[in-house]
Amino acid sequence: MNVDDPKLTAYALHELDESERSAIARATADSPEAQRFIAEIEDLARALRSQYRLELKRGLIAPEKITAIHGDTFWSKVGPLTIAALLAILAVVGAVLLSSNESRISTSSSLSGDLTTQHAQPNQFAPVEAEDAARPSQNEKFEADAGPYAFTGERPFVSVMSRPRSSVPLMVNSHSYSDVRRSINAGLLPPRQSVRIEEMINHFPYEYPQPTANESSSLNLDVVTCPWHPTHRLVRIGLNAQQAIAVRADSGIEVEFNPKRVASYRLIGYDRQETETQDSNEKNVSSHSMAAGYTLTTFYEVVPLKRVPPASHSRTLSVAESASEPLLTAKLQLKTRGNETTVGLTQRTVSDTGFDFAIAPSDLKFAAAVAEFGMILRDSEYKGSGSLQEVLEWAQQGKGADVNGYRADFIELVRKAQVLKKS
Amino acid sequence: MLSSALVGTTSYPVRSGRTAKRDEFEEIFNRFEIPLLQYTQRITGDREQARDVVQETFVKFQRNGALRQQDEPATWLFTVCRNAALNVCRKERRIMYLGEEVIEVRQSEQPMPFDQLQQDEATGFLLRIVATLPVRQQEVIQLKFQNDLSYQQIAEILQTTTNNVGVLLHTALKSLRQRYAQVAGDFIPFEPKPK
Repeated sequence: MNVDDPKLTAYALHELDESERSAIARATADSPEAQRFIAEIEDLARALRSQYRLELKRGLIAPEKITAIHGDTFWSKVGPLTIAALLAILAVVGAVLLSSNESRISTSSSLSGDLTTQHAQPNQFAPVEAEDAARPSQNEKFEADAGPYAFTGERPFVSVMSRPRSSVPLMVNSHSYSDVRRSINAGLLPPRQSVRIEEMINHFPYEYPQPTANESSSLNLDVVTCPWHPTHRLVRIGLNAQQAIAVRADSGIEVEFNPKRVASYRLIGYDRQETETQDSNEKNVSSHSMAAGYTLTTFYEVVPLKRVPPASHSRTLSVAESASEPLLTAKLQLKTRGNETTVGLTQRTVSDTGFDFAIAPSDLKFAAAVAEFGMILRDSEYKGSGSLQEVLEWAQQGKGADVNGYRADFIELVRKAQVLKKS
Repeated sequence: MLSSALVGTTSYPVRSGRTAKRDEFEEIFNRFEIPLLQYTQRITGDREQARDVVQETFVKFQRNGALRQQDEPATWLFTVCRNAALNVCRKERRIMYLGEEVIEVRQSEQPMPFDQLQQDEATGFLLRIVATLPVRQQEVIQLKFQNDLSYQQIAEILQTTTNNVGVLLHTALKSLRQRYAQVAGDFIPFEPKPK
C-alpha cells in the first residue's frame, strides 16, 4: 500500500465513511509502514489539537482581540446589552406634563442656573448605559478589574458590538465650572473629582438652530476629526429645546451607533462617582422643568471602523455609499409623568463626511476645548495628545462673538492653569 | 434601517428569550473570535483589516439570524470571513486571481522562513512549523485541528472539493512531519515511537 495516499490521512482523521474505512483497514492490515504512517498522523493530529487548545487558552495569539483593541472589557465580562433590559428600565418610568408657557425664557444661558438651584444631584442621572442598571453585579466586577489605578469613574470605550446604544441624560448641572474656576483663580489646580466635564461644557451658551414648525426641539449632529486623537472622530450632539415642559430626570437622548461604521465609542464626561449606587436609576423620580431655549451639548469620541481604501474605479460609488450609511442615529426622548410613552420624539441621523476639526463650527471648537481642558485637569486616560496650549488655541479659534465674555474668561482660566501646571 | 430594529414597547416577557439568544451569540462570539481573527489575518496579512472583517462578519451573523438557521455556525462564519478578506485583498489589488492558488501568490504573506524556527522553541512548536507552510495549507490545518471542522465543511469554506481538502491536508501533514523531524533532532519528539 502506498503511504503517500490522502486516503490514509483521511482514514487517520476519521473522515472516511464506513465502507471506505473497512477497505483501508483491510489494505493496511499487512503493511506495517502504512500502519505506522496512520499512527503518526494520529499523533500529529492530537498534538496539533492540543497546541491549538493551549494557544487559545493561554491567549498566545498573534492578532489582538476586538475587545482588547477597543478597551472594552465589558464584552467578555458582561455580555451584550439586551434590548429588553433597556425597555424594562424605560418602562419603569412615569411622567408629568406641566405646561409653563409663562416661564418661557428666551436665552439659553440663564437656564443652567435655574436647574442647579432646583434639582439634579449628581447621582440622579438617567441610565447612561442601560446595562449598568440591568446587571449591576458584573458591572461592579468590571470596576474591580480596573487594575491598580484608583477609581476614576471615567466611561471607557465601549464596543459597538457589545452595546450599540448609549444614552445621554438631558439635564446637566453646572456647579463644576464655578468650582474649577474658583480653585484655579485661588492658585490651585482643582481636585480631580471636582472636574465634571459635561457640566463645564454646558456652562457656556451655544447657538443651535430653532426647531422646525412641527418639532419641539432641534437636535444637531456634527462629526469632525477628534483634535486630541486624530484617528478618532468627535461627534457633537447639540440640543435646542424650545418647548417649556417639565420632564422626568431620566429623559434623554438615545444614541445608536452603526456597527458598520463604528468600532467603539466613549461618552465624554458623565463620570461615575464613587458613591453612585447602581440603583440610582430607580431614584429618577423627580422632574425638571426644561425652559424654552434649553441647550445641551454632548460629545462622543468614536473609533471608526477602518475602511478599506476603495479601488480607484469605484471611488464615486464608495463616497455615495459612505454618505448613505449613517454613523449614528440620535433620538430625543422626553418623558413626562403620567405618560408612559415618550411625548416628544426628535430623531436625527448623521453620516461621517470626513470633516476636519479645523473647519468645525466655532461653538464646536470651543466646547471641544472645554472638554479637553477638563480631561487634562482630571488627568484622564483619554486625554490623548492634547495640551493646555492646544486647548488655548482651540478656545481662541472658537471664541466667536462671545457677547457676555464667558469665553474670554475661560481662555484666561486656561492660561492660569498653564502657569499652575508648570509650577 | 438602523433604527427599525430597536423600536418596541414590550418589556419583561420578551426578556428571557432575547437574553437566551444573546447568551448564545456571546458564546459563539467568544468561541470563534480569536480563531476568525487568526484565520483572517493570515489572508489579509493585516491585523486591522482582519479585525474589521471579523467584526463585520459578526454583525452580519447577528443581522441575518444565522444563529437560528444553522446548528454549526463555524462554516458560515469562516466562509463569510474568508470571502470578505479576499475582497479586501482584491480591492487593494494585492493579489491576482489565479484560481485555486490565489492566496499563495500574495506577496505580503510569505511563510515564516524555515530556518528561523530553531531560535524559538517555546510553546506551540508545531504551530510555528505550521506557519512555514503555504497559506492554503495553513488554512486547512487551522480549520481542521483548531476548529474541528470536517472535510466537507472545509471544502465549503474554501469553495473546493472534499477531495482537494483531503489532498491539501495530506500534503500539509506530510510536510509538517518532515519539517518537524528535520528541526526536532534536538527536541523530544511529540510522541516517541517504540520500534
